[in-house]
Amino acid sequence: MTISVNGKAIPLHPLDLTTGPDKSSQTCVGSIQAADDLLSSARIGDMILGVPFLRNVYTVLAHDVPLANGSFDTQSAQNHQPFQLRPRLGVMGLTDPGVAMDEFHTVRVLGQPLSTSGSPNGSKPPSSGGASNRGLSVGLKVLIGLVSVFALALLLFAVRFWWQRRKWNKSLAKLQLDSDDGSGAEGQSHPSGGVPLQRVQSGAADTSGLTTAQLRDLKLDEYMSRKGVHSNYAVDTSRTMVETDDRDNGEEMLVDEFGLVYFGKPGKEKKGKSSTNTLRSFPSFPDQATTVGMGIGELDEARLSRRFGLTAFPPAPPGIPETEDSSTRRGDHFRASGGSNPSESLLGSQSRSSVGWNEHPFPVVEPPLRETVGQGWREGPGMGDTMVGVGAHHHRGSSDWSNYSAQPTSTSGELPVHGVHRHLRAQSSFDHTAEDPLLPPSLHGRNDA
Amino acid sequence: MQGAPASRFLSVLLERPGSAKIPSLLGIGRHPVDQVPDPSKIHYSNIVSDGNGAMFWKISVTAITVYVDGVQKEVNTGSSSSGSPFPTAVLDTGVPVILTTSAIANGIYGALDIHPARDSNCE
Repeated sequence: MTISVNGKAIPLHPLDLTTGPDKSSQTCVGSIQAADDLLSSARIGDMILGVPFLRNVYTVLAHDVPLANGSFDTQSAQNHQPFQLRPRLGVMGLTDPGVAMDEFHTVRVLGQPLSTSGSPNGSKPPSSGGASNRGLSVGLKVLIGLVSVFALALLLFAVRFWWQRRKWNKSLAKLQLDSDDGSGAEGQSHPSGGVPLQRVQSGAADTSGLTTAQLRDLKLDEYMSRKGVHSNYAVDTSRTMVETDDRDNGEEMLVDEFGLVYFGKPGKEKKGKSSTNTLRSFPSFPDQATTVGMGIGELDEARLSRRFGLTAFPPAPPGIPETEDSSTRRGDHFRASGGSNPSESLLGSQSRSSVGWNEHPFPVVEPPLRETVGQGWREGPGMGDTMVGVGAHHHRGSSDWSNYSAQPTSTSGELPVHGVHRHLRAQSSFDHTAEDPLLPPSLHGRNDA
Repeated sequence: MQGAPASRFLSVLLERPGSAKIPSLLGIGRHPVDQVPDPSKIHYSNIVSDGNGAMFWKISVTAITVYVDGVQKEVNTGSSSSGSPFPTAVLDTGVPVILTTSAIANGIYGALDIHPARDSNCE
């Protein structure tokens, strides 16, 4: 195809007349398109010869008339005014039709590139391929580096493990050797600094009581420290009490090393006889001799007296069950919190009865709280309103109490506590007076017996 | 102005993708020697002028010839819409295609036995 410009036929390259087809399509779009609206509206003309035409010509936009040999008068700028232009358009065809047809056949039919070398576009793909190859090699280098670092770490670990294992084996062999040397070298057979356990003979007459006392002191300190922390969550159980009970007469709730609660003034706790200690708890031992022999050991006298009231009381007669202090104290606690209820009278009677207890030849056994509650219920109408729930709660405590206290009493061969308990309950209906409800009825019964 | 090119012209060469024969060049007052060894072969022609003066760069297309299987076929270009005896054409390096009137396009593709596509663009 040629387009003649002012009589000069310009061959157009076939490759310029169509756009290259895609890989997926077999169609191509021609470069000559109709644009009637654009051409007519813009008053451009009849054709716009764009890039497909200009690729085939050498275009000269001259502002002077060239000479016959193609050159220009170099003096034309001086000879003429600069604004006097004589524009000429020079075209020179560059496309050979025969070569163009061969190229078209090569590209569009055979699908080969037009030139193998020299073209910037043609040389770009190989260069890009080389770049990609270099990038791949860089990635490989990085991968190799990572693998080598990992392998080095593994190697170091293996060496370290081997070294440590060898050390262990050595030490183990030495240990075996030492143990085989003799049984006397017991201390040396533990090179790791472990303290060999001393064999402690566990017996009633063991004299290692100092250590035991220290351990108990530690235990007591721990309990006291725990008791000092007020807790909103803990509730009273049959053996522990959460809150302390501040009493009016200066007595404080004291806890001995076993966690048993009793009331007393701290300053006067030395001598149980002269003090106002309201001793509510008794050791779970039938008599004093057994108590000492049971491994209490070398407790100091003050503690013994404080706990057992040895100076104040004669030895506990066999068969007298010890009261579970916590349940009783819990009863006091609830009574104290009862406020203006008839429990105040209970409290007063209790304090009164405490004096009597000190004078009593026998340890005082309190009735279980359930009895107390039951009495209170019987005594006043207001008692039931406040103590119904408490009574139900302490019913469980009473059962715990009986379970707890049944053991030592049964060892002494005497009446089981629950039997006494039942006995107390049976006597409480007629043996108790309203003025002294807390006076243990069992004592009366026992005195009677 | 001592070093300025004496000849007052600009020249344009556009390369073809995938081919290294022709580079893209813009000549100012000087022809590229490699591509244009003989400037005398450049065919110069006047540009089309109307009542307002010269139209840069509009030329007349005197003939369009299509060769189909070695057979030369002349395309009836008709006359210009502006009244000129020949169709006029504007050179534009910024247009990626050759835009023509539909009459000329139909003439060209009719000679090649190619019909317009459904979107009315010529294939």
